[in-house]
Amino acid sequence: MDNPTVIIIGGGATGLGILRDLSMRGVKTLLVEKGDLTNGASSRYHGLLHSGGRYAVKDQSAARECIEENQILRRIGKSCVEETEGMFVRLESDDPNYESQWIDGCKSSGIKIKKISVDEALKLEPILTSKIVSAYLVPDAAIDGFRLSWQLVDSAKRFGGEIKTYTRAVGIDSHNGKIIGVRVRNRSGEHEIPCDIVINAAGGWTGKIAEMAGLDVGVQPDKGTLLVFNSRLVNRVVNRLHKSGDGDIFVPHGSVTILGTSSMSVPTPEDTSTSRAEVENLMRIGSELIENLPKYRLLRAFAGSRPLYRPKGGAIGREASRGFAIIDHSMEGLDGMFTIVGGKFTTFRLMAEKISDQVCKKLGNSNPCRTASEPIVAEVSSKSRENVQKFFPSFGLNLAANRLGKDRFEKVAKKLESEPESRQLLCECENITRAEFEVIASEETSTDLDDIRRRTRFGMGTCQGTFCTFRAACIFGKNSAIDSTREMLFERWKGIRPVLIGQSLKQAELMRSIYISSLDVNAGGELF
Amino acid sequence: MRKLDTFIIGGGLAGLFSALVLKSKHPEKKIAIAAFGAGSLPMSSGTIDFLSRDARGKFLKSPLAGIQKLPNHHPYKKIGIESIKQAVEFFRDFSAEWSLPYDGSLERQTPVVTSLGTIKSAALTQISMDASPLKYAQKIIVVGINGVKDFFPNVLVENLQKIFPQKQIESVNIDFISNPRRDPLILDIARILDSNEGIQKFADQLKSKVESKTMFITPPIFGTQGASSHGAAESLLESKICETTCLPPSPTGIRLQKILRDSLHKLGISILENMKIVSSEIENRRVKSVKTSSGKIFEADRFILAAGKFFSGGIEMNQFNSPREPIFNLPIFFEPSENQWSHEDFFMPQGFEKTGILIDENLKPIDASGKLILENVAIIGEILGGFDFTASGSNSGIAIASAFKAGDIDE
Repeated sequence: MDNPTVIIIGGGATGLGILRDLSMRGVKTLLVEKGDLTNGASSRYHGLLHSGGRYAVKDQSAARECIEENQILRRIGKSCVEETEGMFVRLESDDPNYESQWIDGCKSSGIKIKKISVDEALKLEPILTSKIVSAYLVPDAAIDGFRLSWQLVDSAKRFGGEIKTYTRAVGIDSHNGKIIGVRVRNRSGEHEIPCDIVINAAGGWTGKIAEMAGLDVGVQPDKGTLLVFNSRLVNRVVNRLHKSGDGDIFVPHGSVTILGTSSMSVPTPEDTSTSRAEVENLMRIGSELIENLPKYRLLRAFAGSRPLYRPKGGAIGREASRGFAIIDHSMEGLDGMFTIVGGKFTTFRLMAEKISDQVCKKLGNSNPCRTASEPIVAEVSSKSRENVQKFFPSFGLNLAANRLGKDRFEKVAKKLESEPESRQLLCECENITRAEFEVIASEETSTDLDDIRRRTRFGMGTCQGTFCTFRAACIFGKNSAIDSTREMLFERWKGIRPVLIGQSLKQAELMRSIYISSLDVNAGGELF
Repeated sequence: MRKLDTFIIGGGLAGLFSALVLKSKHPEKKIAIAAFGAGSLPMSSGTIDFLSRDARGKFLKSPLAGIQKLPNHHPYKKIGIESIKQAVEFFRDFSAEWSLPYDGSLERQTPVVTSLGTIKSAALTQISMDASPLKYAQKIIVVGINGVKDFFPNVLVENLQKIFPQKQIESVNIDFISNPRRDPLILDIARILDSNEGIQKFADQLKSKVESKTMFITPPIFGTQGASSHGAAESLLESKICETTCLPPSPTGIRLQKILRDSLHKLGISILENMKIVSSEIENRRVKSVKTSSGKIFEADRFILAAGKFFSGGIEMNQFNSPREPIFNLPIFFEPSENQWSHEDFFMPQGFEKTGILIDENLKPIDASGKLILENVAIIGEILGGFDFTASGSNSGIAIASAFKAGDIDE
């Protein structure tokens, strides 16, 4: 690649949105990411495409942004969005005044809500407590952050954009107060990539990147813990109609449900630990909406950090703004350096548009933003679905089509047709064929099983990798099967540990019996 | 049903084996077993692992030497070395009598190839799984089966080559099922090899590969019944063959389950299928009867609890720090602190796996202070508390040893 004009630091939804936007406007752009894509807040959240209802009382401009972007993403990111709709429910114990404020807030923010009777609410979501006193339908939806991110990459690539994963920015170089390049480190060593503009979109790591350029940007990582349950407890996003708090949103995703979240300021975004107390707290609050909650099997707990923007003296935690800020550092004497911080997943496209406008203005590029009107990836046609229907497990076809997008789907379809063995199901929980795994595994950006897991969803369903870890490790081929097995089990174990309670204890016992007793992963050749 | 002498709760390895020992030693006793679900044997490799690692994860060459070094409150120590030795003898004789002979000893581990190509150790293995002859092979051929899930010959070749750098190791694929309607499992192939035609088909495809001192490694495909199809295949190929372990469902575990069930059937012991025991009636530290989920009551003089741990439902825990044994409401040992409940290293001993019932020398349940809780109940198998049997490689050994003792010491 010729030297890029713009380098984006950070492979979360924001950075990828900018990569797509600038690439579509003809700006030569490269994105560098220290790990795999979306390893920060863009995947470590509940996967809710906000209607804006959650912000309707506290922050109506954020609410308005949400509902507008919500409608846009349904159009341009069809295969990433599951149009579940959402429900807000108020319980007896919740403040009735909040309900009337919320109705007004939704109205003035442009969020269409529909009041339904309590009977109707319980008919739609029978698992909910009968202590509901009022219920509303809202246009919430579920969105897959991993998938969206990779589709943004595919889209950007078509317009000349490039990404480098596992490439860490280690220095930002300037000359006479003007950006001249970014120093990066990856497997092949350290080198400088010249460029004219740097965009710091590093989420929780924004402050650290700013420091490299001698700048100060206030970002407060705010950790949220989430729980994953092994079945679709609800068919809609269910929100508690009260002042936003912990554990008051359930989001259905494929075969699982996510309950979130908590809010806790932490010193570093690297802190993704979860504790028993957090699990118990979420369970307790979640049980107010779903009384039988402890009877369902927990799959895992995970945590991520919202990168909240904190201008000097600003609020933290739930009181901090969920809005975003763009900083042009030329005012501080560093020309060509931009930072984008704050915001939320739902509004990543808008954030990308706004900063791309500024960058293009600086570059004298007058091409308009097209990201809101053009679909991110081409859809898989019904004809190509029909052609390979017979090779897919019962309901795996549409899932795979949504995951893969047109180009990769055709690649997978061809493999399924020509290699009968690739039709085996590698992951039964999420319906992933060996062909799909192999196609993703062969891509350059897939360096370990975890990279492939985020793209295919293997190992993320109800068995949490108990069966597919072995298969995936044996098929992968880039690393030794023993090492891959070990790494994958360690990664899965991290999320299982905090929820070793109830039915998840059964799964843990089985998992250990397979990998320690039957497959003895750590055994050496002592007996020979 | 008239009052039973002994009522056994649990249809897994421990429950079935205790019934067998009890009836063999005390033929006059009237026994019944309540089984709920298929038991965990189809999930296991069917090897009998007595002890493979010490508390720090160090490999033990001799299970017996390792057992002798265990602390006194370990269930093995409560059972006693003598009973453990007798249990091994009894199990070996039984397995030979039922045409699924197990090989090995308490003094020395027997190697078993896993489907990951690592070498697992076991005190006793089905002879078809004994990998010791690999030492003498010049050429090792790993046999895969086209289209069959969960067996990857190239991975075995790669990993075994590291253990045997001097040997020629290669893989070959053979055919059994064409145009399957679903992904064929290793178990499907094992069912085909229950027949002579199946064994012949296996041998015909490999005959040409045999050279001097050739040994074959296959997934566990030699039938679901006994050891005969493995023996027949070795004769036809005039070569040694060893089977690996595999992901569940495991034909080798199913074979062991089958001979246990067949032998109990022959002895006239009824296995009450799909019967969940939910509660009991206790008077003066003696259990009078137990009750099923459908309200049926069974009275007996003695009860053996072999209900397994979390996986099998012998212990439930729906809130942190509140494990419960649902039938007798026995006191349970567990690690109360969050840090001790689990270990960040998946393979290291885990606190939650130590959850279970503590016992005295007669396998009777005691509480933390050593006080006897119930006089006519024996606790056996996975539900025993205080140690992580999985990490130390002793699940099936504990099951066999405790089951033997419970059958042997009938009062």
